Parts: sequence; structure tokens; C-alpha cells
Amino acid sequence: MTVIEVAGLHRSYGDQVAVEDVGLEVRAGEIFGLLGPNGAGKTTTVECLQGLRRRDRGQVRVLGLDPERDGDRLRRRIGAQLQSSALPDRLRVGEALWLFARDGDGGAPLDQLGRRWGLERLWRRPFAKLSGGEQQRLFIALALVNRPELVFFDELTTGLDPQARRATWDLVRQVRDDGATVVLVTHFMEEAELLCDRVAIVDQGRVVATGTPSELIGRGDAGQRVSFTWPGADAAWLSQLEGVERVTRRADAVEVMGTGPLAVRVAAALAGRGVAPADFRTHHPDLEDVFLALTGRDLRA
Amino acid sequence: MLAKLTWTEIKLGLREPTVAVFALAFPLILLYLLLNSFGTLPDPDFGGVSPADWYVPAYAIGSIAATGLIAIPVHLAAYRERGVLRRLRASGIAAWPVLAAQTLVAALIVTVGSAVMVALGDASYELSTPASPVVVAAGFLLATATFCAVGVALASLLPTARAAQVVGLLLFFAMFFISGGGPPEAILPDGVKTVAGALPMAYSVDVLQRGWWTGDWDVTGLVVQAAVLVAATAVAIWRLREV
Repeated sequence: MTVIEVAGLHRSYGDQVAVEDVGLEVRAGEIFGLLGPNGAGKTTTVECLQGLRRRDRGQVRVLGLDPERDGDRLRRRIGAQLQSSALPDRLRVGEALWLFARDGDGGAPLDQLGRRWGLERLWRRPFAKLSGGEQQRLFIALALVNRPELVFFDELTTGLDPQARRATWDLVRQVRDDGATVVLVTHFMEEAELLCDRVAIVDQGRVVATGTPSELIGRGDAGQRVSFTWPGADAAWLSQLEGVERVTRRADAVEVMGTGPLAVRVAAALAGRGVAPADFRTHHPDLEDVFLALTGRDLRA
Repeated sequence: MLAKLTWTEIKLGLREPTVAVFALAFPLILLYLLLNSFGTLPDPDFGGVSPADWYVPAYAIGSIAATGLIAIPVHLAAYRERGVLRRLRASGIAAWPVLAAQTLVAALIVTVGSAVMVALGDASYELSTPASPVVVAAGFLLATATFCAVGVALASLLPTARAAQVVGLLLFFAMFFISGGGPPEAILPDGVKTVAGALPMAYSVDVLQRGWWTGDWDVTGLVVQAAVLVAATAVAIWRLREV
């Protein structure tokens, strides 16, 4: 079942184009990642999906609704953690949950939610006194307080230390396991690879590739790479091996790039010549390499 | 939702009361000083009424203008600047109940402030009873709605709380002393009267004073305020489509 359908989405701010032409399809029950560098248009895209921004053109259906026409109705069914947002400094954690909970949801579920996200200890603490990780936990709890069918997380783990990041990933998986569909906006490759069922890679306002992380990595856009030390290496011989596309040497260090089961082939050939480097290493491509191969640019740039 | 937001705003306001206190205390202190300076006798410069009958309605409008032009824009612009409005809207809480809650809290503040002013005038300065409580109440409500709408429009136009504070203070003081809060209209120079006539506060004061003294409706004042209310509301709606 499709939860989000987007085609030809375009939005510009003045003469600056933020989203050029985005098409997406998000299925029920998955964690869908929007991956790309800062300024790629990810946030504008999800804001259009939530009806927080108006689109210039394009078709958008979210939970069967048009976010612009039925914005209020839609937003009652979705949960969101926004990239740049805050609460009033003196609003307390418990008050925020009470305020955001739709009328009719009694006190008990609020307590449960607070316990589940580790907020019960912070119940009377004002927003301004929360740490970055605590604020994010509160935002997740607020996004989930009305049991949404679809949840948007935008740069959820930016600014968190590695430990808090891992804990947050577990929380996101719990949300999905509870039956909600999750759209995760991130510029962390590792996050997308570990967490997402499917990923759309966004660059300069366009989706350049969509698929599961392993599909994207296995597409062959990003090659395999092995490296080892071989004093007096025979580069010409190496480059003749099947699947090898490029060999580089820096002093004794050799790097071989190519496709297919490259590591096995190179290792076998080396063993056949009686060469057994102790530091033979294979580098699996990750989404970062895929991004580089697709766009010619480094994601971190 | 409106009840929850209003209750939340009241609690937040009590925790950080500085701006509201200014909007309340400033007109009240000035009123006290002026009433002590001018005595209690009817005066031709005050249109033949006593200084208290002139200044209490004028300063009730003064506290409305201070709340609408300073307190609301600073508070709302900070919400907009920091993403609080977006945060609320993303969770299905539209902008309008947030603004309505602000307006209700503002109405509460100016009602309290005006009640204190009336008590002060009544206790010590021979303030008369309003000729028409209906006209006075209507004028009070219309002025509150108008200045709150102007405040919301200002917040929707200005990018930061700091900008809102500067612009709000400038607008307030530009109007206040020439629209009834300073010397009475009769002794103002003609040029200043012209400027005051171009600004909304003098019209709010006229409606309230006329209702207080004679019980008549000041139709010009009502129409001008209604026009400002509609224009400011339109600006706010247009500007707050995206927050």
C-alpha cells in the first residue's frame, strides 16, 4: 500500500530553486530515507508533504490527501519532528505533552509515553533546560503522542553524540515496529544504511536514485576496492586481471579498483604468484560511494 | 485546543511577566502622575470634563495599544523566529488558535489594567460613571481586537523578536503621546493633530471618551478601527500561510 506519492514536485524561494523535480513513493510500514547533502532540498520536500509549505507545482498525495487542500486534516494523522523548531523556553516537558495530545486522550497514555521515551524524570523541566538529546526525545514523544499513521523525522540525530544517536535509532525502529510508516531525512550515510528499508538519494532538488541500501550499493555505480602493500608491485599485471579497472601505486601501497567479486580474484592471483601481503584489505562501497558515483561530488563537501 | 493554548499562555506569561508588566505598569504610572498634576476640576482644555474623565479612557486605550503593539509582536515574532509556530502547526495545531489564545490573554491583561485605572480614578480623582456602559464596552472590545490584530500583523511581517520590539515601541510612542495619552487634543498644535488623525489610536480614544461622557457612538472612530482590523487581519492571514 502506498502512503506517499509524489511526482514532479517543484518549489523555489524567489529565484532560488530548492526542489527541482522530486518523485517519490513511500509504502506502508517502511522506514523510508531521504538522503542527501545539506541544501539538497530534503527539508523543503518533507515540508511540502506535510503542507507546511506550498508547492509551486507537482502532484502530492499523502495518506490519500492533498497536503495543501486538506492540511489540517492530514496533520492530525501524521507526526513530525522538524529540523529547526523549538518550544517556548519556559514550557515544561509534561505541559508540552499535555498541550500536544489531542483532547480525549486521557492522562494514562501520557505517563506511558513519558516512561517509554525516558521523560518521566524530566516531567517538570522547562524546555530551555533540556540537553540536545533530551529535546530530541521530547520531540519524538510529541510526534508520537497522537498515535500517527505516518511520522516524519528531519535530521533527527544531528548534534547528538554517537551513543545518543544509536539510542535514537532504536527508538525509530520501535516506531516502525509499532506499525507506523517513517520518513527519515538525513545527511548521514551510515544512518540511512543501517535504518532505512528504502532510500531516495536527493541532490540539487532532484531524486537521483531510489532503492534499498543494498540495491543502491550493488547497482555497480560504485566500484569495489582492495588495498595492500606489495613492494615492487607489478601494476601492469594487476590491471590485466578480470574485473580490474584501475590500479594506483603510492610507494609500496597498492590500490585496485574494479567490479564483480574483485577481492577474491585479486587475492587468488596474488597467491598464485606467491605474494601474500599481511594487510590485504577490501573496502565495500557504501552509500557515500554511491552518492559520489551518481553525482560526481562528495556528500560531505 | 483554544482553551488549552490559552491556559498554557497564561502560565507562560506568569513565568516571564516582564513585557506584560511594562504594558500594564507604564500607562498606570503615567496616569497616576497626570491625575496628581491636573487635579479634579472640569477643565475647558479637557473638553469641559475632569482630567480623570479624560485620561482614564485614554489610558485604558493606552494599555491596549501597548499590549497590542509591543507585547504581542515580541511574543509572536519570537515564536515565529524560533519555529514554535511551525512546531505547533506540524502537530495539527493551526496558527489561528495560537493567535486567538494570545489575543484572549492580551484582553485579560488589558481588562485587569483598565479595572485598576478605573478603581484609581474612582477612588481618588472623581471619575464619573460611563454615560453608556454598552458603548464603552464595545469600544474597549473593538480597540482590543484592532490593536491585537495590528500586533499579529506586525509579528507576521518582522523577522525577529528584536525587530518587533523596536518597531512596536516606536509605533506605540509615536501614537501614545499625541492620541490622548499626552496633552489634551485642544492644546495640541495643528500639525500634530493631523498626524494623530492619521494613526488609529486617536480613534479608539474618541470612541471610548464619547461613550463615557455622552453615551454617543463615534461612528468615524468605529469605522476607522474596523478598517484597520480588517486590513491587519488580511495581512496576517496572507503572511502566515507558511510559518
